[in-house]
Amino acid sequence: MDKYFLLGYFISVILISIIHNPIILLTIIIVLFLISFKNIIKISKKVILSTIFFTGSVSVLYCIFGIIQNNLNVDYLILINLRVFTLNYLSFFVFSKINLFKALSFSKDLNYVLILSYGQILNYKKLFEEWQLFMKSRVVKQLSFRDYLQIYGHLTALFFEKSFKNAKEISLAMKSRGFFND
Amino acid sequence: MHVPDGFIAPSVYIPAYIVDIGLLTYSLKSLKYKLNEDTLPLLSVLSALSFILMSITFPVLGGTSVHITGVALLSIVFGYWISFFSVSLILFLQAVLFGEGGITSFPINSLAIAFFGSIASAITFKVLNRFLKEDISAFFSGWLSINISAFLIAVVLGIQPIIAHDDNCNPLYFPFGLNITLSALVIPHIFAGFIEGFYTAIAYKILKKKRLFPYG
Amino acid sequence: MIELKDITYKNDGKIILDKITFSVKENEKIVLLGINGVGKSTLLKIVNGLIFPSDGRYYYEGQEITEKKLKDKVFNKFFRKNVAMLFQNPDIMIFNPTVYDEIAFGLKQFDFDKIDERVNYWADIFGISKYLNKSPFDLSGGEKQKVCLASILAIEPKVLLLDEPTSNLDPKTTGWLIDFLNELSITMIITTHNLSMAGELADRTVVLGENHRVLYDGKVEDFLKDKDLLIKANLVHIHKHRHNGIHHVHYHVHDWD
Repeated sequence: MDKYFLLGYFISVILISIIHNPIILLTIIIVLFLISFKNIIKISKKVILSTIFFTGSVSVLYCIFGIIQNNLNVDYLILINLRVFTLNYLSFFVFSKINLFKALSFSKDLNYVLILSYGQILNYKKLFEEWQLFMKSRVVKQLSFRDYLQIYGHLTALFFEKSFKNAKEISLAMKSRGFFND
Repeated sequence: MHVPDGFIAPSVYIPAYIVDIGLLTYSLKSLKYKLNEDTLPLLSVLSALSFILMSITFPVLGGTSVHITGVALLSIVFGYWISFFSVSLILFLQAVLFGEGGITSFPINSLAIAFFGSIASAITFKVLNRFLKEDISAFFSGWLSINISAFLIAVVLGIQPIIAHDDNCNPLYFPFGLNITLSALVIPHIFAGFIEGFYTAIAYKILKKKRLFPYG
Repeated sequence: MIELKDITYKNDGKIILDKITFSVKENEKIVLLGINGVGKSTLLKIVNGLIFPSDGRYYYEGQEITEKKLKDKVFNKFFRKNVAMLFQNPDIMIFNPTVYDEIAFGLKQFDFDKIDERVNYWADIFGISKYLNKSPFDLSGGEKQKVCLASILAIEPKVLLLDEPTSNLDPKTTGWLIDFLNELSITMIITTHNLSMAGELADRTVVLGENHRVLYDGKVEDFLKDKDLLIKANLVHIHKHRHNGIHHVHYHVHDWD
């Protein structure tokens, strides 16, 4: 099921990105709002937060250039902002609904590498955040660029070391669970 | 580069997807041939590693910060196919799970940052290493890795108004041409490249000292 | 010295700490006891001013600790100098090329004089002098823990927060650490989920229950005798056992992991 959703999503993305009519885009947004009725505010907030920097700067710059060159095309601004919103809203909605790992289960290797990576990322992220708190606890002076290089260099070494250890452990665990038997 | 969906034309991202998926499949196949059972565990921990490296930020003047990619370091230490695959995997997860960067800009990022970044830094390191000190080679390798990516992304964005515009020459996707994208992306990366370069050199030196190298 | 009033901490809407109130006097040692996941580490991070409660107040020497207050560089320096924390995982606490630099780092941060002398003094106390020029990464878990503790104690903090300090140690180093901490006369909050450790580390314990509230605050001895409270804290379990063919049921403590 998730596989077909993902396929449908990709086709929709392509279709939406070739639409240049603001009315149709607006209609799609309304349809998306209706489907995701309960989460409109939540998803919209996510979309705006994650796109505002890029889309905002492009829009502002486009306005400035348009005014200077006396060639401001408001239609373009509406089109690009609507399209960015539609596509990103669709993406956030779809990926909150589907189980990505199931959707990509057509390839066993890809599927396992994704799941394993995701687990490792959560694990590494926790350690990294702990490390950031530790730095907050111990560093009160402005550090120099040199200090940062040393600190990050050693942090990198810590994660490299952890990676070698974990890779070996995972490999053994997979073996013990019969992953390579087929 | 977190380019949201909507700025890149399908005539660019669809071919990019085809090439990228082809390269990713090839890299996974050849790695499996070489590493066998250790492939999946190694790729997954290195993807997580790449995720952490991308979280590293250096504060620079004026309260802003520059984050590194770690692509050159991964590529020098593990080879460009592993680096390409792991970094791409993270770019993909960032796009679909963490909402950073769009699904249509994924193949562009994957090719520009992960593929060309890895290949350029691995080759630079190998060539320079013949007549320069290791850490100096690592520095240039790091510097080049992000500059080549910035250049390629600038080109992809900059050709959008040329390949896709309406009858009145109004843009349909990304609005600015090459003259603007190249100066906006390439110039800051010339400086950001120094940070990536210094980081690559120092981290390489520390890893070497601690003998944290997988192959010898 | 440390006063917590109705500290509540929520993460993503989930309650991690619920109205925690207690205070710690100068030079008092307390053990923060509770099973994994009741919020001990979170509470310690709040006391260290690393994260801030969703609700409630935290006072250090009569001054309320808030995010805004710690943005003030002078106060931040004063607070970090006085309240130091040993994290659970020694690996993340190490980032200097040598053991010497590791201990000297805090000293330089807080503008201490006679750095050489101080580093040698602390290295001597912890028996790590022979490693001073070595990379701290190459040491064993117990030795790393010693380096971390030395680098924190070198700045002579008034309050020491220790997050599961024995969890990565072998029994011998654990014994050493307990003796060492007992001789140290500064304010201390030590977290553990290990019952038998609690009695050895301090006289007073604050126990967090599974509802993320304070379940008990008082003498360790009395707590250890109170079977009902122990079960309530989920620190002991009823087990069926077989001894010489006879089945019977008794309470079981899980520790010394």
